Amino acid sequence: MRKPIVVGAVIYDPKVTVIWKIIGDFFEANRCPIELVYYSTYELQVDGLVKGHLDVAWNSPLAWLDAQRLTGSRCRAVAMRDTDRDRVSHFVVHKTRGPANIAELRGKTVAFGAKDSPQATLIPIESLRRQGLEAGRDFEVRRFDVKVGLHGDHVGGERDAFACLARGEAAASVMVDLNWDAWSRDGSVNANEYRVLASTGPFDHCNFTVRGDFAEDREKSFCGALFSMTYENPAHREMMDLEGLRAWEPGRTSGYELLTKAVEVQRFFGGSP
Amino acid sequence: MSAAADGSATVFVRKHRFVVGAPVTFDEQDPRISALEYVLGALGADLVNGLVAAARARHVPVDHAEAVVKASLDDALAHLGVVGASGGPGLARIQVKVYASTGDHDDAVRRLWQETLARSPLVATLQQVVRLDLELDLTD
Repeated sequence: MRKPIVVGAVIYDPKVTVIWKIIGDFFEANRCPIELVYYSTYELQVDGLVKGHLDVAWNSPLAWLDAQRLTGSRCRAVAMRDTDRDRVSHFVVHKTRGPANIAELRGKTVAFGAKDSPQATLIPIESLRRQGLEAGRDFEVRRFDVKVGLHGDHVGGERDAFACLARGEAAASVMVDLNWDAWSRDGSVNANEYRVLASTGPFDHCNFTVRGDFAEDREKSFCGALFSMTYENPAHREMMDLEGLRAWEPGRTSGYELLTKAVEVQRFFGGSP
Repeated sequence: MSAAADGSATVFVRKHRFVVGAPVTFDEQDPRISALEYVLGALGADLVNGLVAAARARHVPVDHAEAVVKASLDDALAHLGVVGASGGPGLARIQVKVYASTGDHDDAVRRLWQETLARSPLVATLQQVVRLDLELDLTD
């Protein structure tokens, strides 16, 4: 019997394992058995990938950059969801009390998510820097470090940041576009009172990362099974809805420029300026 | 008991049998009762049936009794084998609230409740290893 491909995933809630079990069963049925290993943080998962405990890691964009950093850029991004491509984050403000434009954030407080959230902290801070606003110098950073280690997977930081805005303690809060869409639909954010002031440039999100030495035939087997999952197939739809995608796409790295610059300027992984 | 290929186990006790699923389940759609759910259900049933039996033996009317059982694990991620999980897989706390209708016999029923707790094999065992919050709520 072929050795299973070892796949790592970061779990912050036990219920997430239910989705991964469904995915595991799918791979088994498609003759590409996988063995799932769960991690409590992305740092531990990247360590597992680099040390060879894993074949494939379902990585956040920050974990992707970390893996590249630790392997001398020898990893490959082999697949991602359609919803991982071209995301933006929004600066949300009160419609009547809030600033009229980004420049008016000068001297104000901006509420962000967790310190390791690409979408709710790292990329937005870089976005403001590119528009001439330096964190700490030109605006105050109010961060909500919810579940650090999960790279913003848990939306608590963005939710707390918005609550800070709603209390009037910040002039703007940051949230990824998907959360703005969902929360303005379900009423968590009253779209009659709040608006999107501006958005970051587009960025890509999670990917399945492999090391450079991952065998080509095993990668082909893994991706072949993965890409056979289709939204049109009712048997796959529940699984895809749970994972939040309509299609799997080949991995690409062209969407990590903003985050790459952000971690460099903000010295997220340490190092000199 | 014997394990089946579908991940369940059948328990044979005297002339009865029942099926048990996973040790713990986090899937609300799981068709089988987990081992942990059986334990929690057993504790609730122990207390409800113990109270009703004690009341019947003393001819104290208890018209209706039911229990709500809630529990939390110390660290569910530890049970799942998550690398980096910091706690243990065991139960951290079990809360049981027993509701009973007793007419004008509140004092008697409360004494019977204390007797039930003192004589319960599950309470005597579990209270040594996990925090038990056991409460009786009486209505007329």
